[in-house]
Amino acid sequence: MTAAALALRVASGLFGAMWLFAAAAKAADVLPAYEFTARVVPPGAATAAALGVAVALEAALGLGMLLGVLRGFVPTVLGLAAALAALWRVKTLHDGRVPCGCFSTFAEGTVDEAIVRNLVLAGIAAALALAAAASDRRQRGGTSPGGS
Amino acid sequence: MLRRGPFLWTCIALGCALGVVAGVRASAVEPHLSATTYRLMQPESFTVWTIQVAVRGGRPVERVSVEFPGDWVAGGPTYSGVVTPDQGAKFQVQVPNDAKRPWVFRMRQHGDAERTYEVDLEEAAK
Repeated sequence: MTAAALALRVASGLFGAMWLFAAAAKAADVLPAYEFTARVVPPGAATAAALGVAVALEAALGLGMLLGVLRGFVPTVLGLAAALAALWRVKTLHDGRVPCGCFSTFAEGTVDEAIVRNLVLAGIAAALALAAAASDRRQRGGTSPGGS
Repeated sequence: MLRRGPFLWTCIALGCALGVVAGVRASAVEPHLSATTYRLMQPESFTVWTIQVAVRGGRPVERVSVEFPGDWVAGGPTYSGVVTPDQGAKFQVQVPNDAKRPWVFRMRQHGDAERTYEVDLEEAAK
């Protein structure tokens, strides 16, 4: 395994751990995430269902990246984009200073802070996705007949 | 991008399990109140306290009322009506310094889920 491939593997593990931690934190202490979700969809059954689906997707994405089932960073970019859309909606409808509940009470932060953090993470994930695609191309070129 | 195999089903099963846990716990969330108190000033004979009431649980509460012990002097509510997660309620009270401790007042949540809370001014202080 080349150094670049190893770095991509480590980065994938770190992003996977982040998603899994976010899902587990929300399931362990559901109130902050519930309050955030209730600002996006009507409170009650709709909020509970939306939160359940979000946690399931986060957990599956995190485990998938940690166990090597999901390769690449495109799902992470899409997940962060969806989170950013929800954060932006809350910021415009309510206030950027309300708690985001992203990691529940284990790492508290406001919607404004979460938007900045997610933009940075999405930028890193997009750069890693491009690097992974370039690495794949190089590998395919190296193993194809006649390739050097 | 997706590698098929037993791990794939592990991810899906564990993801769904955690999602169900979160969904079930979220469906049990009910609106409730939390109070934070601030000691404004402390002249020789009494202490002025501000009580900031916040609504937790994502839903508004029809009305919040507070009951203070008889020897306290209520400054009256500065906000009344529907109390929302974005707009809390604020009350002020003067407590004689020789009033019997603990300095506990009663807070009521009116509406669909009526509840009563007993709050210690000093324990809830920020």
